[in-house]
Amino acid sequence: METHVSLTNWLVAFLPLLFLLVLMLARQWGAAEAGPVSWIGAVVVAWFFFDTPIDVIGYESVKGTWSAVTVLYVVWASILIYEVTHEGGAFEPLREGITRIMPDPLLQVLAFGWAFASFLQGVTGFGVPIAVCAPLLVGIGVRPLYAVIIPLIGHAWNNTFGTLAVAWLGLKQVTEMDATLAMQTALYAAIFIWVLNLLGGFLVCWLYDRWRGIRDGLPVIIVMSFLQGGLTLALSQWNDTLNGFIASTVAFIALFAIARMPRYRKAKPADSHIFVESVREGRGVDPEAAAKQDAALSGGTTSAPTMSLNQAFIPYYALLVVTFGVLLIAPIKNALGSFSFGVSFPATVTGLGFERTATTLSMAPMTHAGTFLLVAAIIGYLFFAGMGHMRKGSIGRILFHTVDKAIPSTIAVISLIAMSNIMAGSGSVHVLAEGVAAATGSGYGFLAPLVGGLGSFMTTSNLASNLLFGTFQLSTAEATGLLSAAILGAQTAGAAAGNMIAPGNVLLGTTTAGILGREGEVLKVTIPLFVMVALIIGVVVLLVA
Amino acid sequence: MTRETIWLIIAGVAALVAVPLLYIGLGDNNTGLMTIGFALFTAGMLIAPLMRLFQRK
Repeated sequence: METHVSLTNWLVAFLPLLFLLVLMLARQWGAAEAGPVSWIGAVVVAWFFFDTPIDVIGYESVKGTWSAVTVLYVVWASILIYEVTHEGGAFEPLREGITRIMPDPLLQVLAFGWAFASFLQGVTGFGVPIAVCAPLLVGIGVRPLYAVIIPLIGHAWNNTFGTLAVAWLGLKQVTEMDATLAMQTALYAAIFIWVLNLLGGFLVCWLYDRWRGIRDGLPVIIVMSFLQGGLTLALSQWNDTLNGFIASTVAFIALFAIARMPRYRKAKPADSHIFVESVREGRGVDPEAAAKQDAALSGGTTSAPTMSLNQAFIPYYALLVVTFGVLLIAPIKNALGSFSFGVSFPATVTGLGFERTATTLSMAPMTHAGTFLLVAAIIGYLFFAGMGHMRKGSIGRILFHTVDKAIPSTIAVISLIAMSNIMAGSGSVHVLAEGVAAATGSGYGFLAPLVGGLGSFMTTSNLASNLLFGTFQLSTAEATGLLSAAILGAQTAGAAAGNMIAPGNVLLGTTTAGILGREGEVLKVTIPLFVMVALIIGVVVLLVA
Repeated sequence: MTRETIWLIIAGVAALVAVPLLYIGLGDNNTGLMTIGFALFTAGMLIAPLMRLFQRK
């Protein structure tokens, strides 16, 4: 396969992404509207400029939609578990419980936006941390825009080794790396992820109150990062599947111990600009907003029985039990995993000679994260109903709100993944990556995390980015004489960081925080932060590769 | 449920229905089925941006 790379075809290949960026950032369109336009842009570019036959465009659109369905299963199920928790009125006791244990407002923000978001990423991923933590932050008085931005930054580090390391395993598979290279890559990936994790903590504190936020949050940043990033590094040489889960769980539990430190034990004024005005002025959540919040957090429950913090966590405990019950008990995993179905796609070639090998995309629904979330949502519903927290008509309301929230994400995810598949199948992605590598030469290491991040931006997935760019990164490392393990580590760390700008994740946050359509405003903050983080990781890569 | 949501549901359903038509049409070299599938998928993709444009006017 030889696709000529020139400045002209690089710029043409970039057009669909440019459409997406301009519409979302400059025109303030949501991903559900900008995504389809970019899909059309990708079709036009593929057809007219990359000589891509209609059958290749068709197959890539089908492939993209099939991949989108597997992602959307998680999206719908995660919104369902959120709606069950919301209808059961569990967010309010959850918020009250954590705010009672952690009276310091900065610690509360770090608890929901960093520690809990990372913990959820360790278990489920696929945007669940954003979907769950954004409304929790809104519930403690954080402005919705920041309630989306903070967990986006806070959870990013755990995308590679979280969700039972699915993204890492994908990278290993696609590059067919041997055991030695895998060990070295895991080590480099964990080092870069630690950098991302540390920067994440600093950025959340910076957003909270600039330098004062960093000064006040420094002990938490140090301890949490040591546990999250340090454990990830240590465990990377032992168990790559449970790595992210263990690191994030230990850190989340440790935060409750940190809350007992004298400097965090007393309530402080919530005077940060990230809080709504009434909270900043010490009046608490103002009556109008409080009514909205109560409705938002309790699902409108007015006289439900009280609920403890542990009871409020029931859907998430159920999620943990179901996930680990299935994934860690080999006979159960094997039995459930044996049922799978998929779609086969033939090898394709464009008029310019860009080839895609034949592939089969399959799905094992019983061991899919969406099923774990669905079962946890059902268990949570039954528990809440049994405790008298579900009112008449709750099932209808849960389903109605789930559809209402999930449908814009559905259009966005289908169009974005279909777009990225057409770009990959037509050779546009190859041209983009080759162009960047040709322009940078041995300095490519500096840009390797940005390429990983670009993949996540396009696909809303660390895994998909690794699958998309893993082999390209390995070939580029070999072509430029750079250390393969470091470049592959940079790919996956950059892809993890890219989750803070992934439109799908942003969309989940804006949906559950009640600011749907303001994705552009979120991206205006997270894109510069992502670029900064990717460049810092890039400098580290440059030094070691 | 708002009119916008209903249109988005139609868009999503159109895209999902189009996919098997497109896949079977491509696999069987059935131009008619492929064209219908592609047209339906494109229509599904166009609904959300068109709604945005009409809202502005």
